[in-house]
Amino acid sequence: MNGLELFWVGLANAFSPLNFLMMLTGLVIGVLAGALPGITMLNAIVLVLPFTYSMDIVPSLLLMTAVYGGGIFGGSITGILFNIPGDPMNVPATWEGYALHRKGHVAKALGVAIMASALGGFLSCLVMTLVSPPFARVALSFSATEYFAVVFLGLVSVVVINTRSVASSLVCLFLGMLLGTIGIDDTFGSARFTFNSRLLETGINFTIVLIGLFAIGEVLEQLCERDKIPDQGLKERPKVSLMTPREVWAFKGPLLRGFGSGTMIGMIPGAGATVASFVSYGIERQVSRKPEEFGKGSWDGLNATSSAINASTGGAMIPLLTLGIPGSGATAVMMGAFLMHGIQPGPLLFDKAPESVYTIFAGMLLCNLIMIFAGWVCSKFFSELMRVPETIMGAFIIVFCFVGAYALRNDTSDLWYMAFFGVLGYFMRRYRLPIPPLVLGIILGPLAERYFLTAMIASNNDVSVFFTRPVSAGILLVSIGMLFWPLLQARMNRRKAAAQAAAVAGS
Amino acid sequence: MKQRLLLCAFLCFLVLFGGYAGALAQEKYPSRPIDFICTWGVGGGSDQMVRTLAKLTEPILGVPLPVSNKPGASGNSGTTDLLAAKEDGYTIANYIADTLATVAAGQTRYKSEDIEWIVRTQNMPSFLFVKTDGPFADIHALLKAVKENPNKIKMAGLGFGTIDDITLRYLASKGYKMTLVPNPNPGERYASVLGGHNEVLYEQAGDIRQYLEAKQLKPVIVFAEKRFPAFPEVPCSKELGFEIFMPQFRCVIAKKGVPADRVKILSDAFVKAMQTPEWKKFNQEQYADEASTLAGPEFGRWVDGELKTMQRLMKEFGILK
Repeated sequence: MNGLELFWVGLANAFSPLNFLMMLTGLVIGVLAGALPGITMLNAIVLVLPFTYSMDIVPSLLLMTAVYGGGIFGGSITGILFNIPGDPMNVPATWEGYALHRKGHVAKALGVAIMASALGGFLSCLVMTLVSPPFARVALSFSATEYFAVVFLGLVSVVVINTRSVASSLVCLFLGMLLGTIGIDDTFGSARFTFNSRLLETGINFTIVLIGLFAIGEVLEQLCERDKIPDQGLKERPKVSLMTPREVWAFKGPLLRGFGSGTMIGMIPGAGATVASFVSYGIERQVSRKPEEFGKGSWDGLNATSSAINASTGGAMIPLLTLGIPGSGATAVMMGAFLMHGIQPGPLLFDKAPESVYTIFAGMLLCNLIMIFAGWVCSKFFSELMRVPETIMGAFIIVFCFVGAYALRNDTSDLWYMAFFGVLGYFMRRYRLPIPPLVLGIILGPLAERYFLTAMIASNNDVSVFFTRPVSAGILLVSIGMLFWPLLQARMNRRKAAAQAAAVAGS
Repeated sequence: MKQRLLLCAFLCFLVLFGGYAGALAQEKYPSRPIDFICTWGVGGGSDQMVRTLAKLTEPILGVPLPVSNKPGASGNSGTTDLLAAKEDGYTIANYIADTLATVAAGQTRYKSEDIEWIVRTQNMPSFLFVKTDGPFADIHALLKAVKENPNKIKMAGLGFGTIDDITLRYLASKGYKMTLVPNPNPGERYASVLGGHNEVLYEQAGDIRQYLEAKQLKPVIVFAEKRFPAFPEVPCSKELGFEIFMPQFRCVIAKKGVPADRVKILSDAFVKAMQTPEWKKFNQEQYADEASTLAGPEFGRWVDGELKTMQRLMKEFGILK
């Protein structure tokens, strides 16, 4: 059978009642888990893993990929509704989405997040279905040097986003990176900033920081400004309005750019949805025709980042299926599921079980389409929560946070960390320090450090390696350009203004 | 009336107390689920081992063995949890050679004497792998190239101070110097060798089965005293004159102080589970040694020996001062 025939067989299989049910269940579980702060997408996949032992590999994989796609998107819902991103990759969507919500566009913002995520995911799965092998070879040609360049781009993107103060962004970013170094370091195994305490040796988990800063911080802030907000929730029935085809066409630029960067970054082992989310957002800020809207509710930004996070799912599946390399936590669990069923993912998978592979391909494509429906239902459900008075909602959020934080690694010290970062989050809001750079620093800092050290060790401490390899040089130049372009622009504007002033004074 | 009520209450109390005391007196071990801590992440080699073993042991012990993953600090996060639990035999964990290496290096708060070594489940020799279509046909070609270009050839391994590092330093002491490129993430580590960024991979065969089956990677040397049956053409380190044999092992442990009869019950159950065809198939797929099973005091002595070897080599190569 050739590829196309296999694809039709796969599509027919995907529509079998069991497979279809698995996808729908997986999506709902994923979206719900993603939306709850503390229950991450990864937790949800681990949670469904034991149920897959008694199933065939195809329904198991479809269930897990559905949880994966749904979980990545789900956090955007709570981000847009409550300013609490469910997972780190939903931070940019929260930033734009919540701003749009405050402007009164909540229904449309949810709709855009759903559609953009589904479209990005669909397109990346199409890439996965059609051109997996060549893309996998591209992914293999990347080494630690290129990984570092991509992560660096992610770090830079957050600095340029905040228009209010680059200095405060940098302070928070470096603070995050500093916090990220706490614990036993990966490369040399040395203890850093642990002060001989067991609490610090295990390091600070970034999901805990995220929950603390965003969710607990937000609730504390609401608590302290209680007299300013009404004690009842929303009166009218909240709506979720999806994008029309015309709107999709109008946003084709951000959608395609998000899809492109998301798929590419998804393929890189170790990076995944979070890096994709920030990089695509940063790029969009540079090329958008309305860069001034960023941070204050930009449709371009929301489209690009939502498309990128789900596009990373197709990208991440490429090295898993074609090479047997799990790049992220989610794909590592799926790899575990493959192995538990006695199947080795990798190049032989296409020869040994072509029908299964194509059923997974077709299923993932289908899954992204069903996600529009599942996302809409879940968004409606979460929107209903807006009618609950904020004070009661706040109490529930705190409970969920504690449960989620404990479930993460079964460690009570994480609860203390979460409480600490919650208070820190409150004060950061009070003193108008931006929170996303801190979160980004603690997530990407350790990654950047590890890739940098690996590249250095592999090149005998020759720094020029970052600029002699074309891909890495290209990405780094773009990052540096992004970093200095605003400064240059400001200077040129000032010079122009000065020249005009001189001309006015001279006449 | 009141008296009768009091009496009734007293009787109720007695019944309850008696029942409770009786239950205590004849409590049979195990009478409730045994927590099985996996000290490494979901989906990895240790996780598969723990889950397979738990599934096969449940019917033998008659209680569930729920698995929880507690990864971090080379397996020491989960071990610390185990040592914080009660020594009643209701908490067990897995343990591997890489974690023992951190004990040898003196990086841990506990010592090997704090652990009750129940049973060794898998003993897997380590190999060096190269790309099948790469420049090295066999170990001799590789060693020749290493000797001619000291420190130019790169080996992907877990990290500094690990057993990978010890083996590498041993080879360097014999005049074969390679550069260790550490990477704790297995996916990235394999990708770096498949993509040609590093020439050599230090690993156990079971972890990279898919690349072996697809003939992308091939083993060139096994660090053992004998050749490995699955790869009869691959020379072992002993025949090449390298006296270094650091196997990766996986085992089940408890906290020291668990009553001896309970340790015996656990150990017997695991040994029985490891005689099932399912386990034998699993172990074969993982390229584990056929004689992996080792229990009782004999296993404890074996661990001691491994620990001493690690410490000796670490001192010799300057990892441990």
